[in-house]
Amino acid sequence: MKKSALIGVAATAAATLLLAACSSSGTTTESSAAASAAPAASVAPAEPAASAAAASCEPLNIHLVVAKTGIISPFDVEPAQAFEMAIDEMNAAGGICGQQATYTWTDTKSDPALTTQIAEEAVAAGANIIVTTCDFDFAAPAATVAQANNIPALSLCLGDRKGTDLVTIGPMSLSPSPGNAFKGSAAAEFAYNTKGWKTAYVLQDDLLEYTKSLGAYFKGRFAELGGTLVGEDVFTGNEQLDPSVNVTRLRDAAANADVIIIPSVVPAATTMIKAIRDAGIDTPIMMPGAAVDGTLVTGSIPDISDFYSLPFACMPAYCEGDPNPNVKVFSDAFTAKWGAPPTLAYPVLSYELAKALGAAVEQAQATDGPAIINAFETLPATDYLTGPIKWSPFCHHTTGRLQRVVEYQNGKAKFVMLITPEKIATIDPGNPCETAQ
Amino acid sequence: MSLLELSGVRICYGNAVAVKALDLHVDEGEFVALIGHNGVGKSSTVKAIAGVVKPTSGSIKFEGNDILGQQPGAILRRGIAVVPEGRRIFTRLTVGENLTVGGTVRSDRVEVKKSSAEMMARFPVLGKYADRMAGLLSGGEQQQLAIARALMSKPRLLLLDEPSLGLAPQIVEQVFDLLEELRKQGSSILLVEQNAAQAIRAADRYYLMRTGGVIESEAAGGDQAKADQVESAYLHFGKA
Amino acid sequence: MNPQYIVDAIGTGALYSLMTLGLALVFSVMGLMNFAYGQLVMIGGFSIILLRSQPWWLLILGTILVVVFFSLLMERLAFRPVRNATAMTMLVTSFALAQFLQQLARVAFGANPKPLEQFSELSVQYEFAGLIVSRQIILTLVTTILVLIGLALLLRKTNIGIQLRASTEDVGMAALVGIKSNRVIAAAFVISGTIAAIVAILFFATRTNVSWSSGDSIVLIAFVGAVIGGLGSMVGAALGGFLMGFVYTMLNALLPMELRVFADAFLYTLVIMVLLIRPGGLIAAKGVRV
Repeated sequence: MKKSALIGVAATAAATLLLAACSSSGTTTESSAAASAAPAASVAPAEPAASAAAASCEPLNIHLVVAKTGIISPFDVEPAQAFEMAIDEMNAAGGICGQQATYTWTDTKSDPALTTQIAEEAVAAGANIIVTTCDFDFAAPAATVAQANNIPALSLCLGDRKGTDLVTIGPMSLSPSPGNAFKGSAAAEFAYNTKGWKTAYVLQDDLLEYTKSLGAYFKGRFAELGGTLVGEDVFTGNEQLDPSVNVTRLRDAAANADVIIIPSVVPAATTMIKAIRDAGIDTPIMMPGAAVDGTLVTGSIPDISDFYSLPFACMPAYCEGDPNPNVKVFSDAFTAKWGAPPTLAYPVLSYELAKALGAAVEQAQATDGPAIINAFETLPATDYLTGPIKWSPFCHHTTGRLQRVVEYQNGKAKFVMLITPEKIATIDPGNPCETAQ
Repeated sequence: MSLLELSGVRICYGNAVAVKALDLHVDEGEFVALIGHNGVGKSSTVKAIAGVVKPTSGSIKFEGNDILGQQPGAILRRGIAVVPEGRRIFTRLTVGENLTVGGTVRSDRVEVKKSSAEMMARFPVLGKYADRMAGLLSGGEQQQLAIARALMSKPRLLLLDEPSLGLAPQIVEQVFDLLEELRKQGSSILLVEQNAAQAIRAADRYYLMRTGGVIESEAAGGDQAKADQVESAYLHFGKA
Repeated sequence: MNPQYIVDAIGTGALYSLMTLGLALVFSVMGLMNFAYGQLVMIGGFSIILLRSQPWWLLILGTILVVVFFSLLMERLAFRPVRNATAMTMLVTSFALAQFLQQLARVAFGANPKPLEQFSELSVQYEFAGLIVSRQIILTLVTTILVLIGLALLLRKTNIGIQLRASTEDVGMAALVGIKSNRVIAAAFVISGTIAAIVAILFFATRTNVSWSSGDSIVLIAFVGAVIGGLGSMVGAALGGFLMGFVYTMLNALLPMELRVFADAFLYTLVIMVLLIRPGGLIAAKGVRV
């Protein structure tokens, strides 16, 4: 009896492990169909692959140390798919520096310890590029391993400066995001200058470095502009979130605020926004970034109104009116390849990152880590999809990005304007990206 | 035909033999005692009859049907109710609920209620404390409850495992008085006891068990001299 | 202090209380701490998404049926085979089962949270003497009290309830009086599953999405609630769960902003203190093995 019971347990456990341990991998050979549907936006610098056959170019062996499951997976899965799509397109067009790139994606399950282990295995497997998670807290373990081995640690889309300041992790870590200094400042300028909101209430999510620095840069720039902070509160945006107390506290302050700023992430943020609207508070709400955006917002609060976010593109699946036709082309190609359209804007970042990686390798005519990073730093401003961006030798976020402002009314998201902040708030002497614009 | 008949019953726990080869029978309306020291296999015998442990070999027949290997619930439905060692009343149930639970195998709820009222009349202390948690009763009262609970299933045979254990002498007297009364009313009883003298006095017949088997079986009902004789011989054995 | 906080805290407390009851019931019957209980609530959440367009009574009934089905399946396929094994084996089984159901949900519904279109019926708010009370809070409070009374009546007044309690105390003796433990334990899983379904409806009424990991925090709250309430005691479980929610919300309400993010740490410090003073929980049941 006992013995058979134990075997039962072991079998269940084993089945679970098997299910959880699967990982996907892909190479060019299986993706020619998708490549033919490549967007017209494949504007990667056309230094043609044919001319490149330099001896120092080895095939890129890309390991995606990225979550398929866990708390960060909503921000990882589609960006990783977009990254793979871009690589497939470049392979179909002749490869990168004349070589076919390969990629392998292993699920980190949003677990830092597991992330380190997977990164070490990637190094052992001969990775020359490690792609890390979309968030600093979850990317850092893999980026640290990559840095120690002089392998570029390209984050899909992290926004906190600790991942790009060349110091915290090191010079090998890089992201296609413009960074929270940029987004928080842009949001403050939109609030104060465009909308004329002079008073703000900041309801800060302390879940991630990302959410915290986003809030800090909004507050910094808003104060510089002359805005007043009429109240502040904090919550932790995990699944246990109980918004009732925050709403009670907000209820009294709401009357004095022109706008409620919620630097947070989905899905917790939508629960908070719903609770605020249910309480009858209709003050405009703004997320000074892209992590509260997309179909999760429109799907869960079908009548959401007076909500603003700052994504990287206005994705056709939920948003109308992006001025750049490449966005729709990208969305269609993504849909053709993966069977469903992007449900948030992050995939454009990682798509641009992959295209820039191709350009960097072409420029360097080399695949060793420092040469690739050096090429990233010196690439000219290039429009890979949504507008011209470039990296610099002292800030590994992108500069020059045209951030979108999106407005939600009656459950529909609409493009409002392109925005690049006039000035980045100066609140953190350790952030080289404050002066990089 | 005997009501209960065990023949060649052997009970092992792993490699340890608890009962070697036991033959025993209880006739309709008979009060039989199974006496012996701690550890001679008495409790294992009770458990085997009740279906809690399965003998390695031998046969157990009840009213001519083989019941060896059946589940406790099935054996109870056939008519063997157990008053287990240590009473094992449900301490967190009320006295009344303990009686109700005792009637689980009977299908007619109204009849069960009626029986419950009868038990409370028969055991006044149970009636008095019907709504009290059974764990609050004294040892003797709990023993009465355990017996009443077993009677709630209207058994054909009552199987008692060490009912006098841990009770004060006067209370033990009361328990034996109760058993005699039950016998007079026609109940069949198999009593397992260490308290040999009293058991032999009360029973129609007794079996004396020593490490794994019966060594003596005699009719002894009400025979004080015989009881004393077995008691002293038996005690002597025990101390040797 | 704003008295509204008390209303908020009671709302959360009532919900946590209900969560805890469902877990504590199965524990008290078979000594099993079913860590897959949270997954039942998660399954309830997905049922709500699938049944969202149905009339409300069908949504409630359907969700209860789906969750009870999974609860019974859990008992039959995972827990019955290990019922006589050690407590540790059962615990490991429940963890493995929780993992399995999570992965199953992930395969079925994807890694991303699924948006849950809200029942605006439940977010209606009323004002009494300056206090704002939502329909969801009233419903949660009423349901929790009804479930507690219902459980008390069931356990005290019905045969199955008395058999449940008898089995809780002494499974071996319960078999000797003819109680069919399979039936009794299945009944406990039916009740536990029903409670999990009701929790899912009330819990997700304030959420905007369901994900495969939605059950994790729920089972943790219920477990700690049951422990501080006193394992094996229904009233204790209800009280323990209520205090978890009430105190957590009050901490969030009253702590200064710098400390507010450590509300969890304060809460669990209090839990440890309660257990140091009363190791058996607030209302300790006798004869419980852990």
